[in-house]
Amino acid sequence: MKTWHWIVLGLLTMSTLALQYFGPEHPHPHAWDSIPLFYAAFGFVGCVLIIVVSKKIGKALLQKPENYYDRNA
Amino acid sequence: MNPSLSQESILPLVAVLVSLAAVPAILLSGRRPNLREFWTFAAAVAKFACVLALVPGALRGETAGITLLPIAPGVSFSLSADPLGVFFALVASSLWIVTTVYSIGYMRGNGEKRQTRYFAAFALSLASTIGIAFADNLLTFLVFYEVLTLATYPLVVHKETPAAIRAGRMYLAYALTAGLLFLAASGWLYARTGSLDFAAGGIIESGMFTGGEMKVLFMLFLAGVGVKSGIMPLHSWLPAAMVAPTPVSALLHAVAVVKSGAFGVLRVTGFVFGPDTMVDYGLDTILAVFAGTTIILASMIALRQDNLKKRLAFSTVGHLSYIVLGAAIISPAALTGSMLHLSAHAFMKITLFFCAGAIYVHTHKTEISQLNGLGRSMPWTFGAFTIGSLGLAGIPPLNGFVSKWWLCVGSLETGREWALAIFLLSGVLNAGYFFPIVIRAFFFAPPTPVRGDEHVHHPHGEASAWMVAPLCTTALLAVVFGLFPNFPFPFFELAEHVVEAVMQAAPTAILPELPSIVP
Amino acid sequence: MTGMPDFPPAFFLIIAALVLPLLPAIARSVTTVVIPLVALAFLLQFETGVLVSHTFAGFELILLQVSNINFIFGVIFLLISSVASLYAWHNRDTSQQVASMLYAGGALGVTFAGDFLSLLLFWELMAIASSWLIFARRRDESTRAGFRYLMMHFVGGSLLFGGIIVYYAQTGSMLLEPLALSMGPGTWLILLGVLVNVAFPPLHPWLPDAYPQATITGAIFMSALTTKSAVYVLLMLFPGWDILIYGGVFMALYGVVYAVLANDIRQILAYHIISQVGYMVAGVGIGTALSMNGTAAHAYSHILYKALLFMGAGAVIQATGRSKLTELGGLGRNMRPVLFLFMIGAFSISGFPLFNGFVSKSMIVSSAGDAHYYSVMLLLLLASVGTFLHTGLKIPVFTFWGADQKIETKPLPWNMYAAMGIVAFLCIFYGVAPGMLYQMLPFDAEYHPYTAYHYIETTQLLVFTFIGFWVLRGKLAGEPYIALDTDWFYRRTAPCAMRWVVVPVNVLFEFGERARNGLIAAVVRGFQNPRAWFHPFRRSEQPFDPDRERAPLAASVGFIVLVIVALSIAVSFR
Repeated sequence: MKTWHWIVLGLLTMSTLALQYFGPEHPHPHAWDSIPLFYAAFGFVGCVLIIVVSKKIGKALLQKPENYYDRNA
Repeated sequence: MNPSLSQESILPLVAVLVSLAAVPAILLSGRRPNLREFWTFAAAVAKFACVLALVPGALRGETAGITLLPIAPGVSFSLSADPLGVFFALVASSLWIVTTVYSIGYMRGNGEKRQTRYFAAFALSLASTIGIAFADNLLTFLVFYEVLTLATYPLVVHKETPAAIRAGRMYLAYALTAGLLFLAASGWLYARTGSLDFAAGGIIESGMFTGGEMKVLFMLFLAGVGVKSGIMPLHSWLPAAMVAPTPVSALLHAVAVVKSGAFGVLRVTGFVFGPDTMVDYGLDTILAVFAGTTIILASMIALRQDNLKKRLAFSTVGHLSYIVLGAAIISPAALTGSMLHLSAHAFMKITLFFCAGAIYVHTHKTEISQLNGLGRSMPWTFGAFTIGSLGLAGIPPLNGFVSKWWLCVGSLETGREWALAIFLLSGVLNAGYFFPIVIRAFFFAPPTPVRGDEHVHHPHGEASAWMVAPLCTTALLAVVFGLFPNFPFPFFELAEHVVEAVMQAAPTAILPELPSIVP
Repeated sequence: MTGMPDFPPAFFLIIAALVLPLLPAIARSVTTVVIPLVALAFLLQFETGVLVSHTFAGFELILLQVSNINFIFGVIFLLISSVASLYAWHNRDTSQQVASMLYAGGALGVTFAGDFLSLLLFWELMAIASSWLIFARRRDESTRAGFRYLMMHFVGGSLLFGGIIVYYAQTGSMLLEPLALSMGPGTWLILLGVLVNVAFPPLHPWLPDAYPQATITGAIFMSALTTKSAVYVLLMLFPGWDILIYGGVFMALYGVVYAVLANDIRQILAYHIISQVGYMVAGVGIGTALSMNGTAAHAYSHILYKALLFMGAGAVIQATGRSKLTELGGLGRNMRPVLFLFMIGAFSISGFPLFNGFVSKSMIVSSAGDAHYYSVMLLLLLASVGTFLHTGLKIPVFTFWGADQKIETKPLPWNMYAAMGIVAFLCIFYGVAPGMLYQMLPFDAEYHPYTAYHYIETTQLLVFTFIGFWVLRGKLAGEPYIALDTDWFYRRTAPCAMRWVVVPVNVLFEFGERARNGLIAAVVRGFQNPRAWFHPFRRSEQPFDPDRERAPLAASVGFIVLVIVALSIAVSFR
């Protein structure tokens, strides 16, 4: 990831903030729409959550060696 | 039989006698194989033609009959061709033609000895089968039933190995004992009712027997026909009889003998006891329990058999009980399904047996574990096998689906959800024991030849056309019947006539009060 | 052209399949690409209503019934069949071509069926034809997976069959129309049967088990047809059933979790199918015009971008012979076109603006909000995060970027690129001109995807999901494990069931036979020589010899004479 990649991402985020404050009204606002960067947080936290929880479930329960079913079939 | 629809006709007698007449001709032309085979073929075609000639009348609901020999008051040795009889005769006689062609390929391809005895016994067996189909009363039925047992004995012991002789002995023991029980039951029935006739809707009326007597009578009859129709625990002769040459297993033990048993069940339940009696005395439940258990247990045993013919034998036992269970569920739809399964299973099972025989003659392989990769060198054979398997598992558009459909609709018509569950489970089990065979043949690699095995003959290609053509024909017919249940043989219409006569209701009638199905 | 006959699309494909073996190689490939388009031309001319029916054994089969709902499904199935056939142009295996045409024919039959019997017929055809595409891979592992696939679908078909019969017994109707719970337990059985094909957990394991084992070209057909035709049936029969809302959300998240854990690229995509179909199922459950439109639109878009992704994955497998993330990496250098096209699919599936995912997936999410299912809405949004994560990021990064493993890549045939290009174009086309998609949708519901709100939501979500991925990217690399799924129950218990149920039955019967034989032998021995009963203590040294043990002739004759005399005396005194 080069620096200019991060700059582009930062600009995109800014553009969404700008639209949120200066752009057209949202027809059906939900409770959380008024929180700035709600979806940003949702995305980041959600992503981390998914990765961590999936891996935990995997390690605890699910992951087995590839030949698991072939052994004592 | 409704007398106003009855006609005098010599045609049923001719149908029986045609192959009987061929027997001496076959025996005399033992030295000239082609001439001998010609007699068989001619008899098969002539028999089929006679049966076909009876079809139009049967479609009108008529019965064509002839009394041969009056024996006692109310009892005579007589034949009559009613729709049910014509139905069965159509199945048996049409398949004899294909089997004859197949037999020629099999017997010559395998270099079998005693072919003359074989073809003669075959002709006699078919004569008795048609006699069973056209029997007008219990006595005639029994006579031909026993003759069938005796006529098929030389075919079972054909190979004359110790195993074959043992199997033949077991077969005789089971079948002749069953015949005795059947005779006892018939005698008892005659003593009480003064009649042995088959009448649509039954000849036994309530009050003729007490509840207990009725059950005993029914059990005697059931034992009588149950052996040949493979109801457990009377079925053991069938897997043992697989030592016979495959055409024997195919026609006789998948079509003629076992279907005679199933046909007998249909006659006993529909034409001797009748639907009302069956229900009033709880006989339908007895039969249903036996049949349902047989279906499931037979399928489970089939799963473990490695010998191909044994697996097919147990599958046959299971499917025969489809027919019996359909008869036990006293409903128009179930009876329709029962009859349709009689013909559907015959065509599909005979295809499978033909394939097994072709494989054996061409490669000498008998166990399923030896069949790896064989589908690539024998695509037509295994293609037909696939069609037969799909049909028996009940997959549309094959005829096995149509019969399964009617049987299942009938199960619910009478509130027997457990029967529906049995049919569905059996379908899955059928897939479980047939699909692996097909998959092995087409998708597993053939076993690599072991060093030192070079002298073993590894043949390529299909078995001879004499065997492959018949099995493709029957497979094709299974598809055709699945798409057009009345073409080229009007099986569905004939079944409708039988159902109307026995149940006094059309198959698609929705009964006045549908059972409420509470979850 | 209103004079064109009403010929069911399914029949076009089935007849083509039957004709294929007679054609030479190039003609076969051309036929598989062209015939679906011909059928599509016919479809576009059809009017709505029952167009073709046929009486069969006392039942009325409705083979072609066009409605506003199935029209869009028919269009996309035919379109994707043609493109997938283009992708498979180089494949000379006739059996696969026949199987894919039959499979597609079955899917179209299901889509345009008007009664349950026709539905069942085409449903089973689909199961059998599609299983061939797994077997055709000709590896032992694939063959075993194919058998499991076939049996699972057969069980599903049996449930459907049972449900239809119970429903018919209860209501006397065989017509395909929305069902209600009050119509009896048959509706539940039908639902279960359909849910098998929808890959609804726990009935789903056939999908991640078998799709990675299918042939490279066959998998494209499979990704499109089985689950989406089942979604159509769900839409037809069960609109508004509440259980589907929560079930759909569960599916969406279930697929995400397993996709994070999976190692094989096609298995990740397979779990992802489950996740996306979860959206469609939820849309059916919500039951509003907007949600059902969303289901149809999402199905349409999903078929396009999922096919593109499978084509890309297939291209990787074709070029390298490998499919596991642990064995791949750094392919971007040698496989630039595939990377480019795959990323178009990845952007579409993640819902980037200007791609077709943006204009379709959000319809369902919005409809959840409109119907006040707020938790559903947020959970589906969470599943979108997961989608971008495992398909938009995990697969490409670990396949095309990363350490160059110096993997040898074989060149790919032109038709693979052409097919991918066409689908990629369509993904962008519908993304930029969503009206073209919306005009085919079944119900009237206004939806405008390009709003500021939608842009804000999507952009923030995607950017910060990416950041989350970047921070934890080490954890997401493939690991050489499999994750146990609900197929553990039948893969582990089937041998147990055999041992505990089937074998005892066999043993019992064999024991019974031996006992019977033994009993008979004992009886025969005992009754063989009645004269020996008179000498129970004299042990005979020689074996039984009938000639020795026979009574003298005089005794027999005398006995007979005695009996006759006695009888005659008895009778004459009557």
